Amino acid sequence: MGIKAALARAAQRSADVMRSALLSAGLFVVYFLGMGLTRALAVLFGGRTRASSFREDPAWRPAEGYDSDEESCLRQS
Amino acid sequence: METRLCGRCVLPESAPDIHLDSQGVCNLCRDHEKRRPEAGASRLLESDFTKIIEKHRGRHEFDCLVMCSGGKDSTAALYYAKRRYKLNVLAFTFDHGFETEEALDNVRRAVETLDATFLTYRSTFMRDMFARLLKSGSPAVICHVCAIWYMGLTYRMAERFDVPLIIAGWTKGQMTSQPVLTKCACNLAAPEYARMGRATKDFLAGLKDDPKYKDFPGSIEEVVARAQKRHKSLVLSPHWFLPYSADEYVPVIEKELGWRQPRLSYPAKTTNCALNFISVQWALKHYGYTHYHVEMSKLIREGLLTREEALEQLRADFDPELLNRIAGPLGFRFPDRTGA
Amino acid sequence: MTSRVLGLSCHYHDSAACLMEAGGIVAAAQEERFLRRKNASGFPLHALNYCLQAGAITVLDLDAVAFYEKPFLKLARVLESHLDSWPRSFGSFRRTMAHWLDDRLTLPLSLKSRLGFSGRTFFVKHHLAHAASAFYPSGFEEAAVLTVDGVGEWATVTRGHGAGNRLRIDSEMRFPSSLGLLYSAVTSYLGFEVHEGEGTVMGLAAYGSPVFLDRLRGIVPSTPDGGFMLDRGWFDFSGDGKMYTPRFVEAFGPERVPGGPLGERHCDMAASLQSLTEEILLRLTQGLRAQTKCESLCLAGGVALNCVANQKILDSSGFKKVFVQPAAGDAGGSLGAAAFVSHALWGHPRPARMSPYLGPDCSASRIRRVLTNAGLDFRELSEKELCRETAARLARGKVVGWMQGRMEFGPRALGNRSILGDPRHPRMKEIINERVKRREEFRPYAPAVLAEAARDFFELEGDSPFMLFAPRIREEKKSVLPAVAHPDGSARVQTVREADNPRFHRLIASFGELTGVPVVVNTSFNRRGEPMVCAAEEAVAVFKESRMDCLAVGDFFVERDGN
Repeated sequence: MGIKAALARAAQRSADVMRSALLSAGLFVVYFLGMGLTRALAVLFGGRTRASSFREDPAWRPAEGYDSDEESCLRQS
Repeated sequence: METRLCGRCVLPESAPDIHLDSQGVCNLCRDHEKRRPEAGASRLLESDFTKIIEKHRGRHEFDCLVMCSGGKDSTAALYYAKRRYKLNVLAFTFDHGFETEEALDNVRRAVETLDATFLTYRSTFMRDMFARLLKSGSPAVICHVCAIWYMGLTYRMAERFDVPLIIAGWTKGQMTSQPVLTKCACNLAAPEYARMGRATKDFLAGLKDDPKYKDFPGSIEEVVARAQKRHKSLVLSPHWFLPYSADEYVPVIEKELGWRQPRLSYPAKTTNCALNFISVQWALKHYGYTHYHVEMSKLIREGLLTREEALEQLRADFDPELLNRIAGPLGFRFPDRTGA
Repeated sequence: MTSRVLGLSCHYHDSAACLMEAGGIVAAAQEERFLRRKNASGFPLHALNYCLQAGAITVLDLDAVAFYEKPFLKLARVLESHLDSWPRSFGSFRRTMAHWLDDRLTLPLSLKSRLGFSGRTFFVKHHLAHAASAFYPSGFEEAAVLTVDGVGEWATVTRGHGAGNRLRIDSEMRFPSSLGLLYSAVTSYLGFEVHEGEGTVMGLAAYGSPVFLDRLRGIVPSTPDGGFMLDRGWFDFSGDGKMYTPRFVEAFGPERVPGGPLGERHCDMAASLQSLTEEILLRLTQGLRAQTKCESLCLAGGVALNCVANQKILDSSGFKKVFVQPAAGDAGGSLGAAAFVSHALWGHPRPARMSPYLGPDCSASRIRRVLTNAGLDFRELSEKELCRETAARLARGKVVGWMQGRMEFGPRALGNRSILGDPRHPRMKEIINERVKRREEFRPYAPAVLAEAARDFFELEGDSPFMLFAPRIREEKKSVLPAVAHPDGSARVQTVREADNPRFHRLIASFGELTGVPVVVNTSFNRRGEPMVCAAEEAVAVFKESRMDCLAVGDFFVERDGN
């Protein structure tokens, strides 16, 4: 029973390590490639990013998405 | 020489398994101190319980089988199952011939008020085994032997009615880390049960020559292993998951279910069968403490009982006449106070 | 009729749960109090279990769960933020995404797997939850609503209006222009912990002069439409490293190392930040007053915990009444989400008044057991005796741990989980620090005063039941209350009405009868770095491990001399 439990724990730990490694690798790709490309396209076609645009935007904007009906409140966005 | 009790819980010094340090505190209390988890972090929560019951609700004729002894804890468990969790309940009571009328009345009133389907199983199957235990002078614990019987029975009932959950009324003091959780479980790895567990196992091993008991399981682990091969059901107690103590639920079951505290029971404020007096007397003779001492010591460590309350409830000075009245059908006689 | 809703806030900081039934608040509590870990941010499993038990229901009886933000919108902002700071924010990106991919986008699934709940889950926008948390329990039939925090999904400030059950957000300011993040950035620059040290910086401000105010105004310019901007060249909210840039350090001097000595420059920086914050808030509230013509204002969001600024708003915004709910930060989002569903969506009537005492109680039998198992000598007293004995000890300069009734919701102790002292004692601050709290010496302790006597001691017109205003102490009373007077002459007052907390009121009244001063020092019952105590075991542990003189928990009184 002790050996079985130890083996199960070891298997779980390996799975966790693998998962973490895969996640890091995936996020690395998403960040450097995916976001890099997105940023390049944004600058190329939009001419600016949000960071560079703030001075041109007004401080106050009309509120959006504050609906008070059940259907919109069931949405996560 | 008088036995020394731990200064914090109610376990006595019992070499080699339970020993007191220089401050008079037992090794189990010290272990508990060291092990004490971050408050709240590892406690069981009610949502853990509801998560489990939701998985099984409505998938079988009955959602759960509730073990009912007529005691406050199992009656409260039945109450929770019906009223709080709205489960479809099969209430189950077993009587080995030593249940008290008061306890059975408590069960009857509860199942009637709660409108629960109810099964009673009465059998004297175990009588010869109890008699043999006493006559042989074996230090086996009667309650442990009985637990093996009633758990086996309970699992068989769960199988017969295809019930996925078995609900017991065991308190936090009756939790162990075993996969099978029983009121009288003998976890041989736990120091407080080591000698008792070995004695019970040895006694049951010796029964194999008796045709009536040759197939009787040798331990709780065996009961569970057999049961799980045939039908998987999970054993739980809502008390492990709820923050309420008896102070809170006893008034509720008294008011709503007409539950009544029996006149005579051991420990005080419990509802145990008449044979329990014999079991306790026997355990005190052989070990100096009982599984009730273990249970209450756990409750003390959890802050649910004070040492004074436990000592008060555990006082045992049984009248030999009472003991002999109960033991009569087993063909056994306890010496009277003169030793005769 | 659908009536039971459980509000949840979690994943960022200050996880909490709140149960409402038919429009009434049944229970609310912060997860940190159960886990014993400050600002615990994970799923509030313990808090929600408590709330359900307080309501005598299980998760099966809930009609809905309400969450305090829209996760997908928030994720969009997080991703865009990382896009802006690419490629230097990979560390933060990896950490953040790991959490997001865990369970932040799958709350309904998470509720099912953790609780067995498969009912409806509502997602209330973050600032709407803040607004609802303030407006609905305010007791105002109609009010202007202003929410100000670090950031929700995108909004950092919103303006709105509430009337009856209807609540409307009219306009918002967006990330990265955030007063909350500005305050946190300077808090971290001054060497204090973000989400924890902002109150400390507010207290430090009274020791400095706003010599950096002009420079700060330059990097947080106001806009013609009454808002403000944060110049991104000075701040970095990508989450990787510091919240301010090297340019900020060049302009304002080296940042303070945590735990390092505090100098005049640091106090001045705190004062400048506080002044700027007050300026901005005044501008926002004065604008809102002019726009809405409302007489009442509800404030929420983490910045609304700034009681010094709240006082300025009360004094100068033009609003006659200002309400700030005791858990104005993110923990209150759980209350707001539940309140929005309960009142705006389901139409339940609003409560007349809000009690902050929404957490767990402790039964007498439990307290007795805890004290007995702790080996303490104690006496069980009637309420009258308890208040009299406690008041007598306070009058003799003793420090008393006071744990009564239901625990407070929100960061302030309001007389149920308090450490009390004599405000007349000139050294009481040092004594409480030495014996229990060990706080920085510049941090003030706050007074609790009988509501009917408040005006005798403080320049306060209305009530301040949640310690969220800081009026000035009356000139002639400053010498009477040395322990609670801050250098600027203000105090973060709690006014105590008998109807709100009869026992605490009685205690203060007893103290007043003995001394002529119906005011006590009231600070939270905890040691430094720990959350406020929740259960009797924790109160006893603090008592035993500190040098507090007495402990009054429930009807039980313990003295250190006798133990």
